[in-house]
Amino acid sequence: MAAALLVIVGLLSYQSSGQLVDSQRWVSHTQVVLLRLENVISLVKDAETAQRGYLLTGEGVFLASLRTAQRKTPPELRTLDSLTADNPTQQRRLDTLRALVGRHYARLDSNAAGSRRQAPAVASLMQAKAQLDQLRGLASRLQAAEQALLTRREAQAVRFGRVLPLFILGLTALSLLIVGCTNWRLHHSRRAARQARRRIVDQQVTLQAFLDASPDGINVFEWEPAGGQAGGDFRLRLLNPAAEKTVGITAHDAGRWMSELFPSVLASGRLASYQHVMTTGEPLELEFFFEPHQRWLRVTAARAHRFLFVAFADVTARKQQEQRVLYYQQRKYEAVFNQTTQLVALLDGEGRFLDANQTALDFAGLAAQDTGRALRRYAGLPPIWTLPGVVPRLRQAIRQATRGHTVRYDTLLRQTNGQEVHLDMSVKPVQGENGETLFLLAEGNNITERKRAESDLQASYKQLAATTADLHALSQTLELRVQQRTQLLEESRARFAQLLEAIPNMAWTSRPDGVITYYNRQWAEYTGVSAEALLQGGWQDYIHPDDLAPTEAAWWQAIQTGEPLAELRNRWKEAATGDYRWHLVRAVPLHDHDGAIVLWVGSNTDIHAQQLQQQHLERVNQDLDNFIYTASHDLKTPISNIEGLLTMLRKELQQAPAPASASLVLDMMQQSVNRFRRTIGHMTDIVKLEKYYELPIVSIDLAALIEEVSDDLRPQLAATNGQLEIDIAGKPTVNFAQKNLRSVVFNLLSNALKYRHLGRVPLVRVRCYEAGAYAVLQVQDNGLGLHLTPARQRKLFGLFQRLHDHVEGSGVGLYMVKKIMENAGGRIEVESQLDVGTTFSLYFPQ
Amino acid sequence: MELLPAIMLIDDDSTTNFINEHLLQDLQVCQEILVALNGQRALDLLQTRRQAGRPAPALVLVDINMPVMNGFEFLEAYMQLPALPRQPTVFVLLSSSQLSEDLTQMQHLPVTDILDKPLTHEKVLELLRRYFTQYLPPANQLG
Repeated sequence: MAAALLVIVGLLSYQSSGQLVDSQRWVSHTQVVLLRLENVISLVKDAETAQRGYLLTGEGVFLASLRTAQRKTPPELRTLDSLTADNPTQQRRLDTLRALVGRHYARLDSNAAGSRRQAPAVASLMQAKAQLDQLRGLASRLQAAEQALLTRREAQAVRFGRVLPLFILGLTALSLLIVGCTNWRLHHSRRAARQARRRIVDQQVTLQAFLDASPDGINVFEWEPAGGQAGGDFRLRLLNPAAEKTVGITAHDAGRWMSELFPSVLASGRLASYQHVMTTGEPLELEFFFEPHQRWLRVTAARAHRFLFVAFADVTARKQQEQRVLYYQQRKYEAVFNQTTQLVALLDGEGRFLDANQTALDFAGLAAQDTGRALRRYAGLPPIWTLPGVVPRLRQAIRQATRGHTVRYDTLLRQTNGQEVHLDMSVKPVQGENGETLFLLAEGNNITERKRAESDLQASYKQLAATTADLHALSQTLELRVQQRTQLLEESRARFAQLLEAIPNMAWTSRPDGVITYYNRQWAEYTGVSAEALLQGGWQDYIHPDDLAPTEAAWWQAIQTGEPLAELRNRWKEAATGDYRWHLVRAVPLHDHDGAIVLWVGSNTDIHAQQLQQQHLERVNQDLDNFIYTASHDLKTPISNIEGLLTMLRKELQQAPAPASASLVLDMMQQSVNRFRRTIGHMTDIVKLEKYYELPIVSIDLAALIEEVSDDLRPQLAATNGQLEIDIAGKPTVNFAQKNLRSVVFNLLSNALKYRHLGRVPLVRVRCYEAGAYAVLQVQDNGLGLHLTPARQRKLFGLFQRLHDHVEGSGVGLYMVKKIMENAGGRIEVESQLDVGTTFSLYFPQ
Repeated sequence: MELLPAIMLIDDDSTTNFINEHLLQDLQVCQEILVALNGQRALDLLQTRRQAGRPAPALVLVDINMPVMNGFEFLEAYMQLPALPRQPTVFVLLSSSQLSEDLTQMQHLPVTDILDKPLTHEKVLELLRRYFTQYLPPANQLG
């Protein structure tokens, strides 16, 4: 009974205290309205005072005060409006008050706008006074109404406070303790209510300012547990400008349901969270994506009495950044985890696979969903696990790892494709902060290739060892053979040295690089120095200083090219006489089977006598040439003079009578002079021939040249009806000195016509063809022909030699042809048959 | 007919000079024939004449090979003489050698022409035809 009573008392107490709190709230509300009204009135008064001050003094300061008051008034009126939204009567009064204030301010403005000197009409001032009185009246009515409300509400609260204890006192006669408690509680509540009344007035004022200033959006909802939704709903009561911006609601939405304003609170469960805040009083903080604005919001919700304060902050930028970082880290982790070539798996202490990277899954023939299964249940899975010992070994490793050890071992697996694979396995515990084992990290490295390489290496090493042994045996065999060969070589060399010692010439041998290795006995005899001393000192000391450089150059050239040394002439000092004697040095290289030079063998032959003779001949030749030149030149002047004197004499004789024979003698003298002159001409030609020795060699078009020569011979051809047959298709061009070739061809062709057979028309055949290194030009005639003996042949080409006397000839032509050919390294051959014809063959080196 | 004022013959062979002098007299182309036995004597003669105010020869026939001063040296020296308002002189070399390398020496010398020895009527007339048209002898003397 007492308990039931206590419950009733409790319920009554609870209800009444709720009503009391409610009343208290209304009391404070009324207090705020009164305060705001007072504010409006005082602003109007301020304006009035400022206007008066301005009219009296004209100081701008007053005008500024007027404007300030005017500016501050509308917000106050708006606040009043919202505060009294629940009271229609007061609303109407407020409308009137707003109109009056507006009109009064207009009046004040027009008064102030007039000239300060020009006092405003008394009527205008009176009107202002009347307006102000009206304002005051209205304001006091508003105040009175609010005061009445306040009184009523206070009375209501006091009544509750007074009646309830009596009632409860009556009911709780049985339990004084309970009454006492209730009484104390009520008493306490009343005192709290009075304190709250004062506090709330302050708080209300600061709250609004705070809300307006807050950068976060703030909504204040009223909790209605019996609202439209299960578990209750909230009505929007207050919001600040930031909230308007953030979630897109306005002051007009005040009074609407939360579930209606923000439908997403239902699906997302936020409504339930807010309900939880209201029932438990625990503040809530959460972040969510606000679909309508596509923004991330951080929400802080807290309960105050029946109200839910919800503050929003836009955290979209941070969220996006976080998501990017998260994504990047996730990718990094995945990349490392899945793409490493190492097999990695995480296991728990029971051997269950928690996770495994792709490499490991592929290798083990497992699918991602297989992770989480216990190790023993893999039996019967892909063949990798079926090799004996694999699973037990892994299980043992796991056991050891759980005890904190790191285990490492090699294992042989058979992959799904049947290949055997060597794995370097390791299992190690991953420990938490307190040293407890969280899970196990199993890693596997495929070392099959390395193992194979190792075994290959071993095999190679064995092979190498075997080869080395073979080589050793082989080298011994070779060494033996080399010894035998060396002996043979020594014998051969000894025979060779004997041979070189036996010959009368100075002989020597040299290495391929030109270093002399041997001088024979004749060297020692000639130079007076032993072969050993020669080998040490070198041959250079015994050669004529003028011949040293050319000899070294020729020797060097021979070594470089490998060409034999054939025509090297130089002087060597003979010890016995102290004279330098001319020698011909020859050297030939000896080659091995591969064609490489192994040795040079050389000899110096004494040609001193020949050399001197040759030099003497050259000198004589030169003298002869000079003599011919001088003779031909010096004889010209006297013969010219004789000719001139003859002419003079002829004229003299014409003027005086002379014996008839004089003219005949003069003619014969003239003929002799002519002959003499011609001879001198030929001698000059021969001198020139020597001088044309070094004409440039060019490629000559033979057809053009023959054409030119036959042009010059046209008179002779015409006189003899001579014919030319030309066949030079085999070798149309010849390399020779132009002038000399012309001279040669001219001589042969003119000879062919000159020495023609009188019984037949001359036919001259000209042929040209290649024969080895030569171009052969043949001139064949059908002329007189000769019976050629060697002596006649010599005479044929001799200087001033003539074999026929029936035709004019100088005996120079063929001599010149032969000389030209021989000077150029070619030759001339002749075949002839008496009464048949002659064939000259010219060999031109090409 | 107008005659050349003077022709000079320079040759070390006096027989040649005799024949050539005779030849020129025969042709009757000049008033005076000067003869010198070498280049040096020719130079002396030219200078003496110059001092005496005698006219310089219009044509000089000079041999190449001469003792004391040869033909080339003579021409070199002649070029060194002080410049006078002399009338143009034609220098003709008389050569017996025909060797071209001899002739390369005279590239820079005032040589007008080169003739092979011996000098003949035809050669002299050809010279006159080429350089002294107005002094050509009458046609009847050309035989």
